[in-house]
Amino acid sequence: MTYMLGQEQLDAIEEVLLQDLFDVGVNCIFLIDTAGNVIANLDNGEIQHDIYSLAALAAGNFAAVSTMAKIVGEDEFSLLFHKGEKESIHFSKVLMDFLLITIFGKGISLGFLRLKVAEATEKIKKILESSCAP
Amino acid sequence: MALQKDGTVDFGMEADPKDLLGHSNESPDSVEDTGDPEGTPLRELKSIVLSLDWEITDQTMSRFVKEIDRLKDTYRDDTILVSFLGLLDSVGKYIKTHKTRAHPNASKLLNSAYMSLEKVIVSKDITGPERKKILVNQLRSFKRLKEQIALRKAASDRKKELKPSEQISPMAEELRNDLPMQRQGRVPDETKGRLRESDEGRVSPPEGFMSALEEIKQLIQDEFRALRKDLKQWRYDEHGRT
Amino acid sequence: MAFVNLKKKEVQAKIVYYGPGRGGKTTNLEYIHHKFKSRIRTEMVTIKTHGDRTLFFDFLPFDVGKIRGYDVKIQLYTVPGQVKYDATRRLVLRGVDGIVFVADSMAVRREKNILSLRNLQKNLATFRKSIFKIPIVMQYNKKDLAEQGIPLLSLQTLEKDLNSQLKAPSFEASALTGMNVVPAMKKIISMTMASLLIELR
Repeated sequence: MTYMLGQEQLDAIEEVLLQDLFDVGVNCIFLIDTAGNVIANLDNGEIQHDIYSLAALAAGNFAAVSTMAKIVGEDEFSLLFHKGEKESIHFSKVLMDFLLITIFGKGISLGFLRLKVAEATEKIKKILESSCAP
Repeated sequence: MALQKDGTVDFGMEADPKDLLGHSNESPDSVEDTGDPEGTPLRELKSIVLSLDWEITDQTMSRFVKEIDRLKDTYRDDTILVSFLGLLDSVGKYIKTHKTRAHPNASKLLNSAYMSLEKVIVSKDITGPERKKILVNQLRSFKRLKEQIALRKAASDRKKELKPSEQISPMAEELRNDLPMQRQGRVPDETKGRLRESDEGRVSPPEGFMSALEEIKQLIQDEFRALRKDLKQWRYDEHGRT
Repeated sequence: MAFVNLKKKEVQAKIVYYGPGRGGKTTNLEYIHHKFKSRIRTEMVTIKTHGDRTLFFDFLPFDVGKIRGYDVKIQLYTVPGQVKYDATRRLVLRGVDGIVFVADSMAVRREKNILSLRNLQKNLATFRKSIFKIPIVMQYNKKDLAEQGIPLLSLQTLEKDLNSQLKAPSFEASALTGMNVVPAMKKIISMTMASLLIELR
C-alpha cells in the first residue's frame, strides 16, 4: 500500500525530532517504516552512518524481535535497545507501520531518553494520522 | 533543599563547597562502583536507581523520594551522608516534577551522586577527608546543573518574548540547512527552486510526480503495444492465424 | 509499501528476490552491485551463515535516477532460501512492492522451485497480498550450467511448472555471468512503478 507524506507533515516531523530529541543530545535519529523506507533523519554531522542500510537492518531486526515476542506469548516487547561502548541504539514503534530509531552516546541516560522518545512518538503519531500514511 | 517554583533548585547549603575541604578540587566525574551495597541500607535505593536508569516512571520516582527520606532518618547523625541524600532528594524531585522537561544532565547527576554515596558508605578504608572530597565533587556537578537549568530557562524565556516571526533558533536553522537532503548529501539544482516555492508551509501538489508517472505509463503502454504485436506474430507462427 | 516523499521528491520501493535455496538470489544482487559500482556508493548488506548461505537477508539500495525531478530509490532484498528460514522470509517480505522469482534451472531442483513458489504465495497471503496481483518477474537462473553438461529444465517445463497461471514476464538467465540479470531487474522496476501509479490513481 503506497503512501505519501507532504512537505508540511515532513517538516512537522523533523521539528519534533529536532526539538524533543536532537536538542537533548541524541546523535542520530531516523524515522522509518516497517518496510525499511527512510521517512526522516537527523544527525549531528559528525557521524556519517549509512542510513539506508541501517533502516533495512532496523526494520528486519524489529520484525524479528516482534516475531520472537509472539512465539513466547507476548504481544510485543516494551524495550528494544542495544547498548554499545560509545553509542547505543533504541527502537520505538510508532503506530502500526513506523519505527523511531535513536542513536545516542553516554551523555544521555536510557531512562530519560525513553521519556523523550515516548513524548516525541505521541507527537509524530498525530502528524502521521493526519496524513495519508497507511 | 527546596525545589523552587521557577524550576530552579535551592540546595540550601550555606557553606561554600570549597570551605568543606579548604581547597578547590578536580572535575567531578562519575565515580566507579567499588562496593557491594548488599547488607547496607542502600540496597533498596540501588535497585531503584538501576531501575531509573532503564525507565523513569512516576511510580519509581515516588519510591525514590520515599527511600531517600527513609535513609535521611537512618543516617541523620552523619552530615556528609545527609548532604548526599539532600542532593539526591533535590535532583530526584526536580526530575519527578519536570519529567520530559528536565535537563538531560539531571539523570546523569542522579546516577553519579548515587554511585558516590555508595562508595562513601561501602568503602571500608575511606577517610574523612576523602568522603568530603567526593561530596564536594558532586556538589560542584550539582552547581553546574543548576547553572545549566537557569541558562536553559533564560533562553526559553527570551524565546517566548520574541514575536513569532522572529522566533528562529539559529541552531535549528543551521541544522535544517545541514540535514541530508539526498543520500549523497546533494540537493539537486532543479528541485532547489521548487523547494523554496513551497517553503511557505503549503503542501505542494504532486503535479511533477504525477507527470513523471504519466511518462512511465506511456513507456509501459508502448511496451505493451510492442508485446501485443509480438504475441500476435507468435500466435500466427504457431497456429497460422492472422 | 512504497513511500512517496513529496518534500524530497523521492520515491522508495522494495523489491525482493525470492526463490529456493542456492538458486542465485544473492548472486543476482552481487552482480548488480558489481555492475553498478559507480552508482551504488554503499556496500551491499549481507547477513549470512559461516557457510555463506543467506541467514536473514541481503540488501542493496539502488538509485534508478531521476524521473521528472523525482528520485526513484529501489531497495533490493533477497530472502534466505532454505526451507527452515520460512519465518525470516515472511519478515523480509513485509512491505514488498515487486518480486523477482529466481528459479533454479537444474533438473534436480524442479520440485524445490514449485515448493518455493507456493511458499511465496502463502507468505504474501499473510500480508493480504496476492501473488496474482503483485508485480512479479520470473528468472530461470543457471543457464550457464548447460555448457557443463548438467541437466537443466527446459523453458517450457519451467513455464508450465511456475508460470502457467501467473503469466509473468520471464527471463532465462545466468546470475553468475550476468545474462539477463539487469533486464530482469529493469523489468520489475518498471512494473513496480506502473503498479504504484495505478494505486495512487
